[in-house]
Amino acid sequence: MAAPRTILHADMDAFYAAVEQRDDPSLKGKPVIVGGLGKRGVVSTASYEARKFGVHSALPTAIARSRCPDGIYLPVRMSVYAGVSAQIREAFEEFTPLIEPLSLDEAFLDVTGSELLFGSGEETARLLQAKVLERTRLTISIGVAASKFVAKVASDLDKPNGIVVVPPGTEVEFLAPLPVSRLWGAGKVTQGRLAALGLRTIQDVQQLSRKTLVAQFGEAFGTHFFEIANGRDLRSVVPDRGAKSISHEVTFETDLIDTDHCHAILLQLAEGVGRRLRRAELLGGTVKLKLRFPPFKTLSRQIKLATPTDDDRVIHQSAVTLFDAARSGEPVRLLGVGVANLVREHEAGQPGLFDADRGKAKRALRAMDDIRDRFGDGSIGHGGSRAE
Amino acid sequence: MKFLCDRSRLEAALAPILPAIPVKDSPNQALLSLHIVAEEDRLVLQGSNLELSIETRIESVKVEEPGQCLVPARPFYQLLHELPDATVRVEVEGGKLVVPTSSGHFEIVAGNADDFPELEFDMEGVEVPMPVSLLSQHFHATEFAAAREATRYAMNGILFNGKDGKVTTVATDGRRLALIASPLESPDPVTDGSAGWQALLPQKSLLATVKALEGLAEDGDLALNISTNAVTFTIPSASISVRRLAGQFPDYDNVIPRETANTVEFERGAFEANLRRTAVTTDDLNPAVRITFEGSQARFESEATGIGSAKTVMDVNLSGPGGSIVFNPHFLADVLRISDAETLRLEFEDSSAPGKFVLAEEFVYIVMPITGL
Repeated sequence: MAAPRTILHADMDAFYAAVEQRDDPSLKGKPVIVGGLGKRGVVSTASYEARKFGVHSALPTAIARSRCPDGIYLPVRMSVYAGVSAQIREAFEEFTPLIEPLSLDEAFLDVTGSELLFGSGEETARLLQAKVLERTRLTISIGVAASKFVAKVASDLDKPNGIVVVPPGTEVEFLAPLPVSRLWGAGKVTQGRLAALGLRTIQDVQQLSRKTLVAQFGEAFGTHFFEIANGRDLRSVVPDRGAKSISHEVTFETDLIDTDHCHAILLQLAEGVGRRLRRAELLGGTVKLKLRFPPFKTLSRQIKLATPTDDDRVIHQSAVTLFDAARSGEPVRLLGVGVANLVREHEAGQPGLFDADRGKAKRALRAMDDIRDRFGDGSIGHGGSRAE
Repeated sequence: MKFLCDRSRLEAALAPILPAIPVKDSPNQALLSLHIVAEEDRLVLQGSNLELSIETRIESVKVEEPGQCLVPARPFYQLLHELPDATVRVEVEGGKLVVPTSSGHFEIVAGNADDFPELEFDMEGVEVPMPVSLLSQHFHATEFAAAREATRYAMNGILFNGKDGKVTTVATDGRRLALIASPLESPDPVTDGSAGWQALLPQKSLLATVKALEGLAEDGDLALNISTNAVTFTIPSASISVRRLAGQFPDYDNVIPRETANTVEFERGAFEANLRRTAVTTDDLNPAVRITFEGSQARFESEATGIGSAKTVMDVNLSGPGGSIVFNPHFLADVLRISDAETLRLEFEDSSAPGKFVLAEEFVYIVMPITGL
C-alpha cells in the first residue's frame, strides 16, 4: 500500500544575491555578496560570479573582501526577500498543499499522486521552475526523488536552474560517488571521524554493515547513516503549522443590520472562496467566519467539516450557521469567509456515495466560474446572492 | 403561582428539557428560561430553542394558586438537585421565584411568561403511532452515520419515511449510509396509503428527543404528528416538537447495492477484533484497512508511514470470486459497536463500488471504499 512518494526539494539559486541582481540590472554578471557588512559580519549569499573567488555563505565578510576585492557588497534586505519568498510559496501552493519550508528560499514539496494534473515528478518540476521564473524572474533548482534526503542532495547537483531526477530504486548508485559530507547530519566532527575511518565517498559507507556503523557512531547516528547512505529516508513532508487558508472579506461603509442581507453577502464571499478553491484544485477542511461589530469588536469562528469541500453552498451554509450563532442583532461592519486545512482534491482518498451527483454540481459550478472569468464577477451567482 | 411538588418528580421532569435550552448567551434571553405553568392539579414545564421544544407534564400536583412564570432553567434545576427535601414549595412573589425549604431560603429571578417566544411549530398533521422502543432502535441504528455539519445535501438530518405499513429510517454523511426498516404494529391509514409520509429531522435535536422519551417512557407508546414544519412526539407525560429540516436528502435508494458478485458471511466478534488490530497501524492521514477475501479466508492489512504495518487473517464463508476492498476502519467500527448479531454478511462487487453490510433482516450499512491505494 505504500507506493513510492514523489518529493521535490526546491532551492532558489543564490537567492539574496539573485534578488539584488534582479532589482538592479547593472549588477548582472558581477560578483555580488550579500551579508553583514560590519567587522564581524558574515556572508549570507554570494552570487555565482563571486563563488569563483572562493566566497561562500557563512564566510566572514572580511575574508570575502580579501578574496574578492572587486565584489559588490550589499546589506541584507530581509523584508524584500521575505516578500519574494511569499511569492515563491504561492507558486508552490499551486502544485501541492504539502509544503515543508526549510527557510525563505528552500522547501520540500510532496507531489505524490499529482501525475494526472502535472505529469511525472520531472514534469512537475519543470512546471514549477517555469512558474517561479514567471512570478519572480528568479531561477530555482529542483531535486526529484522518493525521499527527502535524496531530493535535497539532488537539487544541489546541477545548480543553477537545474533539475535532477533520481528514479525510485536508483538511490544507492546515485549516492555512491558523492562525498560523505553530503550525508545529512554529518557535521565537521563527524566528517573528521568518517575520514579517519577512511570513508570518503558515500559508497564507502554503503559497504559497511549497520552493525559496524552503530559500533562507530552509536545506535541513533549509526542507524541514521546506514539508512540514508542507502537512500532510505522515511520522513514525510510535514506541512508547516498554521496551514494556508483562502479567505475573502469585505468592510461596509454603512453597517449592515438586516440578517438576510448579511446572509446574501456571505454567499457572495463563499462564491469567491469556492471559485479560488476550484481554480487551485483544493478542498477546504475548515470553514471560517470573520465578523466585526463597530467599532472594533472582531470575532472569528470556525467549523471543521467531515468532508473537505469546494462547494460554494457548503461553505455558505457553514458560514451562515456560524454567523447566526455569533451575532444577535448587532450591526455588522465587516464580514469575512475563509477556508483552511486545505487538501489536494484527488488526495481526499475517500470517494463519496453520491459523487455522481457531486460531479454534476461541480460541472455547474465550473460553468459559473467560466462565465465569471469571461463576463465579470457580477454576471452570475447562486439564487440569493444578489440581494441588495 | 404557588404549588407543592415532590422534588424528585420535579427534577425528573425538568432534566429532559435542559438539552433544548441554549447553553450560551442567546439573542433571545427568554429562550434560556424554563416556562412553568401551574394548572389546577398539574404542572407543565417547557423549554425551547428555535429547532426543538420540549414540554413535560407532572400530574396530581398540589397547586394552591394557578399561574405561570419564566425562570432561568439551569440554576433552578441545580437548586432542585442540591436540595435534600422530599417536597418543595414554589411560589412567585414580586418578580421572584421563592423556594422556602428546611435547608434555607432561595429566591430566583422570575420573568413574565408572556415573554416566552412564539415557536411557530405547526402541530396539526398526520398522526402515526409507534412504540418508543422502535423510535429508539431506529435512532441508535442510524444516527452515527449522519453528517455532523452542514453539507450540500441536508445530511445532518435523519430521514424517517413511512410507507406500506413500514417505517424506514436513513442517515448518511455522504460516505456511509445506515438504513433500518420495521413494520408498524398498528398500521395507520396514512402509512398504508400510496404516498406515505417523510420527515427529515436534525440529528442533534433528535438525540435530545430520544433521550427524553427513553427516560420518561421507555416501554410506552408514542404518537408522531407530522406537520408541515415539525414533528411532534407525544407520550402521556411529554410532548416534544422538532423542526423539520428544509433541505433535500440525497437519493439514497440508488446507492444501495442490489446484486453483487461477492457475499461473505463472518463472525462479527472476530471481524471486529481483526479490524481493531489492523487499525492500530493506520493514522488520520491514511485511515485505511485493506481486506482481501480469498477462498475461505479474509486477510486484513494496513500500513502507516512512521508507525508500521499489520497483517491478520480470519476464516470467513465466501461465495463469489473474492477480491480486495479498502475501508476506513472507523466507519466499520461505528456499526460493529452497535450490532449484537453473531454473524454478519458483507456483499460487495469490487474494490471501487460500495460495500453493503447486512446487520439484520432490514438493517443495512453501506460504506464507500477508499480507492487508489
